[in-house]
Amino acid sequence: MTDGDRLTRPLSPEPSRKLGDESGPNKPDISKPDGGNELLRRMKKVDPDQAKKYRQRSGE
Amino acid sequence: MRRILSGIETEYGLLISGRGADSQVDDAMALVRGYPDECLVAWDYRYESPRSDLRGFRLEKLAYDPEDAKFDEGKVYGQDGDIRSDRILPNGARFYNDHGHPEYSTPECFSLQELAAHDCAGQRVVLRAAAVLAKKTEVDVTVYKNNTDFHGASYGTHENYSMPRSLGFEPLFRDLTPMLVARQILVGAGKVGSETGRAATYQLSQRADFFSEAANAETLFRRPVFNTRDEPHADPREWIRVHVIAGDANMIPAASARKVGLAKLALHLCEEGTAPLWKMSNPVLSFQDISRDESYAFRVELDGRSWTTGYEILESYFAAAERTLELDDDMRWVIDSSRKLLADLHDCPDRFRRQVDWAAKKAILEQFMESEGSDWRDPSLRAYDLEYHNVDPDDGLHSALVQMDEVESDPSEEIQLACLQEGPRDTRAFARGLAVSKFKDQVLSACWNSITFKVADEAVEVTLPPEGDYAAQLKDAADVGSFIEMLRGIK
Repeated sequence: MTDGDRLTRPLSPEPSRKLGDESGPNKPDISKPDGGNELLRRMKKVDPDQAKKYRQRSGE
Repeated sequence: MRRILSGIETEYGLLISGRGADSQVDDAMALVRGYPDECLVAWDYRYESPRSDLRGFRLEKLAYDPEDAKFDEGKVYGQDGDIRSDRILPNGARFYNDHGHPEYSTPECFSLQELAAHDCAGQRVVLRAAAVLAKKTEVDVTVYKNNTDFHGASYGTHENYSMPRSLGFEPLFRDLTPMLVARQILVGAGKVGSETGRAATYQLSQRADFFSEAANAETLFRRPVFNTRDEPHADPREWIRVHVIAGDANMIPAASARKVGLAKLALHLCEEGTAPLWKMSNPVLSFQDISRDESYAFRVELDGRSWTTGYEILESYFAAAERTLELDDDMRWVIDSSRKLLADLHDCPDRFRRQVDWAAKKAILEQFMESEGSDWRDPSLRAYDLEYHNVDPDDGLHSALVQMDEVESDPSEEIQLACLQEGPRDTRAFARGLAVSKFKDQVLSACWNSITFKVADEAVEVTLPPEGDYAAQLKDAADVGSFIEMLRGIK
């Protein structure tokens, strides 16, 4: 990763650059779906080793 | 604005009790062959050219994954057509076995919402065939609409866009690649961990780990961000089929529509010659950086020690489109809804995850970790990741979210069933589907760009131009002769 300038616009017609701040947007607080209900009922049925057993042929 | 014909091909993951990857080709063949509803077994392979490259050359052979090839040692599968076991459906879709994965290729559509509905209806086709196989073999058959097995094997969800040949490789690569890198912010399907390179806890993209080159014609190994396969499925003098392999399988239909819509936006701008110019220093690394960026800064390195962000790349396409295109309803929806979502990512995560698979799935995983007192190192998280993509409406975690109104709903059952009855009426898929439903006994073979009929013991091939005017009256053709005449009149 370089420490170069931040481009806020594409290179058209002339490259326009401005100094960027290093602070990206804050990580959002993605809250959880509420309720136990159907989702929790299904999650309880999931075999925690399911992904370990899941082997696939490489496709396209 | 010219409408762009497009389609989505999804290779499904397959888990069968007591079986494994070494028997997956046989199992996918059996699944496809057991499809119980109306179809035609007569795919025409003559126009397939997977080794042709848009840059004007032809590969001697395609690369393959040497680890994957071990599964085929000592195996004899038979003829290629037998292995693929193609079925052509009454809606013009193609259902077949692709490298051990049941693949549903939607009928071609112009409309984004229609395409998303057809993609969703394809899940029903695969489930119908899986149910038959389960009943016949008396074992559980589970089907996943995802793109990874978490052990280093990936399988694709590809998009196809019919574009004028006159555009050529360079403008398409230049104008589409930044969009492919940035759009995962809105349409990635999400993945626990990484399978290559640096460690990651949670990624936006299922596919990012599997790209190693900016552009090439490969799809099985050494995969590129921009695929250069030149297989137009139309008159090669006039058409290119832009074959996008960088996207994920989406469970949320709005994400499927947005994924295709964002690519179309870039392609419209390319055609108009007004796409924003971004010179990324390394599209592969940028794709992977965005996918793994848990700060959501989405920094992208540019040539000349400059940098930008995924947000600014997306907004530059929106602004250029508003400035230079006459936007139709689909493109207006793509721009407006994407801008709202980008704001929601930071201001209203509850709204964001209703339309974005990676965020919806991440919320499930965080709920699990909180209830279990575990963290991202918990190896069972991948099982819940996988089950998000289980297409069985009674078992899948995505469909639980639909039932709970936590994500945007699927198209209604009525719409999905209608999708399986016939192809979109303004496309060549409508004609292909009618050939299956009305004149199956007179069809010798069919593919994306033509149908070959048997008329008085003669083979009569009719081409299907991608932008033809396929009127609803085709449905009224009384016999195969008048159907052929009507097709020949389409320009």
